[in-house]
Amino acid sequence: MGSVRFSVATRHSSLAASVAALSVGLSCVFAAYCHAQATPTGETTIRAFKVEVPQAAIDDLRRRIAATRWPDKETVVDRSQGVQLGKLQELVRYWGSSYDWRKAEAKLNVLPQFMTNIDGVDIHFIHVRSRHKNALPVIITHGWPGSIIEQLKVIGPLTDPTAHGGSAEDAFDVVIPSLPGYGFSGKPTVTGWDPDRIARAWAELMKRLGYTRYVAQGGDWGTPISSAMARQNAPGLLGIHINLPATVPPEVAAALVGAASVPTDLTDKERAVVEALMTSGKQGNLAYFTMLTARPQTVGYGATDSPAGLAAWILVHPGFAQWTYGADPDKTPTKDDVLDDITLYWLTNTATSASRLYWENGARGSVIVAAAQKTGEIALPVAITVFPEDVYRPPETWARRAYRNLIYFHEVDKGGHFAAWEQPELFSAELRAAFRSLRQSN
Amino acid sequence: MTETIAAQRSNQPVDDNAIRPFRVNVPEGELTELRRRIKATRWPDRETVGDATQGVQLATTEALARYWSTEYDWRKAEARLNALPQFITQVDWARHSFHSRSLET
Repeated sequence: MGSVRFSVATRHSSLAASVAALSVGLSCVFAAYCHAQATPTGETTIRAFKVEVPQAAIDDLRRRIAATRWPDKETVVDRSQGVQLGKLQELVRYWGSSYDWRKAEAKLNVLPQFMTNIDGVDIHFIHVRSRHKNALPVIITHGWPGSIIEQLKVIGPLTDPTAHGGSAEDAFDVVIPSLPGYGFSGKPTVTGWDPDRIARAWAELMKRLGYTRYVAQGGDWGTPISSAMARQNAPGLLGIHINLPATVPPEVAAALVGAASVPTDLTDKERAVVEALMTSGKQGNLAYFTMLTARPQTVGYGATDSPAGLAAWILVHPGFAQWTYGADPDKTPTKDDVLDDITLYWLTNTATSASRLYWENGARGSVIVAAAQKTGEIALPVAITVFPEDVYRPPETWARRAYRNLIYFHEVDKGGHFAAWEQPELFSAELRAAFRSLRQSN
Repeated sequence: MTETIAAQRSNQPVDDNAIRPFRVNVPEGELTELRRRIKATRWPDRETVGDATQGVQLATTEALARYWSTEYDWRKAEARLNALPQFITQVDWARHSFHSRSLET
């Protein structure tokens, strides 16, 4: 591995504090992006990476937060019109005063981080090897509006299971990449970076790391990407674990879009899932998905220019519906956790580039519909954990139809859309259980 | 009596049912602030397509914003509005209405 360290601060130490200079300088704040322009295609070196955001970028963020122009209050007493003004103001006030990005940087920089150019885009990733022999390598993929920040709390339990109630035989080597267009990874400047292409890049990444036997995990966009790796039979991939599976069968998918009536032969559990999906749709919970798929650039302008706008847009995701803005400091994700994620989007100026993944997925459609995600083409072993507060709770009957080689299905009693963030110990225990048989058989 | 936007924003008690003449006269400070914010815009990276299928294109938006913060003149819009008879009254929740009588009636 290369040992080149890209110190952003030294490369841009003369960054002027003026807005004009920042708007130019910020495009090259990160080694990821700077280097993406310089790395010749075909370069396969892996370089060490540290996060060092220039103080001027943080000062500019705080200045913009303080200058926020607020709308008037929503006309309802819940979040049915979107993130509520009072709650957002309180969060943003904290963000602009007490919140400290340098703590997030410190958390990231104690982890081994790297950068490598794949298919013309610099890919940033965290790579933590277990001290245990025969650890199973796993590549964990985040989604939107998440990031590598979501996955930090599972690194300990997965790589060091004996310190977290597991046994040495449960150990994983963990690879956590930032999606193209997200976080410290480069931003694709051409079309085509859909989940299938990202899956091929991930296979290349694992190959570069020398892994010939590994597994993949994902929720949100991590599901279609991990599933595409399985569909493509990525060399060395033993199986996948997903927590937002594409299980909705064709006749139900048709009913959900109003093209057919709801099938009459559903079980009570299946019917309950259909009704929950219909209710969720009527409440507008998929509006963000529609907007990001259709017009990512348009959505991006406001979220790029306004920190408060970015925060409100990120918190529109139904995965945050139960989040209490850190009211209970012992509950994860905390206020700082979520602000780490939002600040990462801000400082890397990735609100727009991240949104393009929806546009790229466009024609394929829903990530929870089995046919749309071509689950029938997956022959490799698939494991599923259903977290009850996720955006939907797929019944096992549908999962068995969608994935012909389903080796594990477990509905746990707590956790939601951001499972690794919300229930890191439970999430890690699920990965151990889900992949145990694959270790034994290989 | 003529009300302006500035007056409208105050909490002075008004006769709920009265129909009052209305004129638009945005304080210069607000227009200066708008221009300042436009010029301070932080922009996203460019769309990855050659058309508007990902939304309004970056160069298009940048050009519009540049014009908006330099040559565009809100006062002309105000003048056009203020050439029209405008009124304000409280109707439950709606507060502002245009009323232009036809010359032929």
